[in-house]
Amino acid sequence: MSEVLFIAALLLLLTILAGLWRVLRGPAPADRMLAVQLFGTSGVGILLLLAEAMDERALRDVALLFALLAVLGVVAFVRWRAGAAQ
Amino acid sequence: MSVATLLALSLLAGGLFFFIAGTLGLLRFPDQLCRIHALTKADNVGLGLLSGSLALLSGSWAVALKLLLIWLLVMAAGATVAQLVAASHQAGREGDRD
Amino acid sequence: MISPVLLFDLLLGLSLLWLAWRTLAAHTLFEACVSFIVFGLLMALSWVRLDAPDVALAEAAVGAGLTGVLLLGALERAERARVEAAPGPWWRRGAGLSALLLFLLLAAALITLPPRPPLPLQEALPLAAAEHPVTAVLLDFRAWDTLLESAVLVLAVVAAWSLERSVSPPRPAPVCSEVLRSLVRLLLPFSILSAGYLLWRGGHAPGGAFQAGTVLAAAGILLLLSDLRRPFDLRRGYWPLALLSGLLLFIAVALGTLGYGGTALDYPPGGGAALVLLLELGLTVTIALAFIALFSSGRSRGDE
Repeated sequence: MSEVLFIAALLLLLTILAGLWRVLRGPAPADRMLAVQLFGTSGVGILLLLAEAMDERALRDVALLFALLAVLGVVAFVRWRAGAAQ
Repeated sequence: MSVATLLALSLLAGGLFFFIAGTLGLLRFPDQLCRIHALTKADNVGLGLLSGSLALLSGSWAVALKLLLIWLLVMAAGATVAQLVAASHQAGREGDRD
Repeated sequence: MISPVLLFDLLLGLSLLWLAWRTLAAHTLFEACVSFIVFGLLMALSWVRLDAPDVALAEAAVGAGLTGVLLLGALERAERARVEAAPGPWWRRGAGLSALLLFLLLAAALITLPPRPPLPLQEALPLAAAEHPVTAVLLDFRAWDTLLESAVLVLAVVAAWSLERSVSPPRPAPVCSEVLRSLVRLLLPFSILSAGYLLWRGGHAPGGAFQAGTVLAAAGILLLLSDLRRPFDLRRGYWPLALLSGLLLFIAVALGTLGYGGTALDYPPGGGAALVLLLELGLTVTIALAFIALFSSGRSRGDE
């Protein structure tokens, strides 16, 4: 079973790597930031899969931290854009 | 293979499908608002199915509750982020017209 | 066939190197910030794969969470102050070369060091004031290091404060969004609950003051960002005392144990676990307030 979970985690990592293209290309700053947001969610998914596959319950706490802090970066980004528009 | 494991595996496959679809949307959709739309599917449905699958596999109520909490937090964050970025996009467009 | 585990680790390692390169070679500072945030996220996953969940927790909190806010805040201030924040090519080359030199020195030291017997941590662990090895090292065996680290944190805040009158532009305006405010109202109780949980777990599992303090700091920063709480001066009232609480508690415990048993930070038998929890509580407050102070430093808008 843990093999299957690792394959699933690998697929999620591959979606992150594919999404890096959007980070690289943009074009708008918001596009890059949205990609980062998606990576955060995929990261939570990977952590939850690894918690089960590696039998390490502390990883669910790492995922909890990811979830609690997920919004911070984007809010700082939105404030920066609002400041730049003025 | 038990019914619970089978159900867990199909939920996992469903979750992965939405993550992959969300990424494809992020890469292929033509404009920013469409891309926001694609993104929230991974947050809401993708992670939801994944958490459901893992809750079944773990077979523990405590783990299931924690997964539920994490999913709800990610969903709340994802919805807020989508709204904030869309509002910022809108404000930027109105700024261009002036 | 190559196993999925190995493939996962390989891809993770390679993408870290690539992101590090993208951070350094980015065209704009914003692109560098974004690459660095993604780098922090993947770094947290790497610590997980290296069987270091404690470091993964810290990296998730700081690398993937707070660094982004601090970097984007710095970028915003640099633009407002019209400061050329990007260093010139010679600065970059100089910094790169000195980093390379430091790396070679460290690598040489590591290779030429005589082999040492493994640390007797496992034998010493039953004597420690905490069950979890990482907490035992941080707050018992090497408590001196942690004391000095909390002093460094306070010094960083003092440095930021002393710079702000001369260098910092005014604080940016908060984000006015009712959606964000409802989210922050929803997150706040969960953040406090999670901080308490992480602090409590630190005694016997990965967790502790650093992670708990960061979660509280994130909640405080969100309150400021969403304008639910007006910016306040951490230099006024009782705030400096709260900021210093971790350091002061640490010094008090060091002096107390010095007077009691003759050795500073050598906890009395039976009292170690309670003292460690007390220290962690103080450190949580110090870490949380230090991050908030670093984030919100700058002239208040009224001073303009």
